[in-house]
Amino acid sequence: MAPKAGSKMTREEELLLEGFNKNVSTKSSALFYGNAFIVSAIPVWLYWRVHTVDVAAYAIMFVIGTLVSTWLLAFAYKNTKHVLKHKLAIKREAAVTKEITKKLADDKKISKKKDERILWKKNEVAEYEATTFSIFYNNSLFLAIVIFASFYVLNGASPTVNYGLSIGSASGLIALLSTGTKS
Amino acid sequence: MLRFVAAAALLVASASAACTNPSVQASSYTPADSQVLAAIPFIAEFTLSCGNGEKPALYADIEGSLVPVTQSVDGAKYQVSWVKDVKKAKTGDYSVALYDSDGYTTLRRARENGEAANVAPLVTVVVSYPGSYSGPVFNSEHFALGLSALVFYLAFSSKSALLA
Repeated sequence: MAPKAGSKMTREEELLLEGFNKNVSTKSSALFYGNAFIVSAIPVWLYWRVHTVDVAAYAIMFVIGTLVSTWLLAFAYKNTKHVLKHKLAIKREAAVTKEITKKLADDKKISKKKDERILWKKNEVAEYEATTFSIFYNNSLFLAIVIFASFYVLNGASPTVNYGLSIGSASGLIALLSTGTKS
Repeated sequence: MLRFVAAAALLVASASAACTNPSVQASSYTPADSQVLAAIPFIAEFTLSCGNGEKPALYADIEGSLVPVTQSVDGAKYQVSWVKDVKKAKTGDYSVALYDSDGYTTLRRARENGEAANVAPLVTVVVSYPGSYSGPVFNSEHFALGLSALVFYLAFSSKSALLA
């Protein structure tokens, strides 16, 4: 299946490589970072209203915390998505194949490219599902850890320690867990 | 003769130490918020007006024990107070019977002897305790933690099922 030196890869090979590629498209990246930013910004509201921390006084801390946490969360999203995508692709293969076959059953002309279409569709479905599930999973873990850390573990600590440690440990832990290969 | 006069004078003096026509004006205080309290204080402040202008020392019967009532330097104002555990403090009106020194002596003797006391109090003040706020019943952070933990558990089990 390996192409000869200098020859162009077939569409199939391209798609396969894309599937194993850890790089995300611009659109995916924007989705990840946007989501990560929103989720990282939510605890700031929590600290402002519930812990009654003066936002103006601690503005720099909140900004830095949000940015660091955004980056770590996006990192975790990417890793989790990558891990899930393969498994999802395998699981959804049967359903996607059935759907495409049904759609192209009548048209004999396109049936040649059927396999390519199936592969592409499978890739797309797996990508979408893995992305959304990765976001959901990491968000739920992040918020659970932040709530637990800031209200129970660090309840009496100063605002700096409370915010720094709960956001830091939550996003750090998620980033760490997402790099696990065995899951 | 002199001793008789002295004794008679003493008798007259002690007789006039009793308060005639006592009328009391009282105000009471109990805290409305007991979140940071370990015990509820009951405080009653009152002024006692006697027909003969006396300002006697008073004793209050607080739940079976007789305690002296604090009196201001000029004798015009009195204050009696006691504390009760937050959990044990019941809502309602607390009647505080106040005795002058004669009544106090009689009552104390009767109680020490175990007899039923028939001493009428000089006056009675009422401290009412309508209850106090002891904090929210339902802690929202427990609920938030429970909900987030549940959502995470769902996510985790789905992930495990996916990667199985």
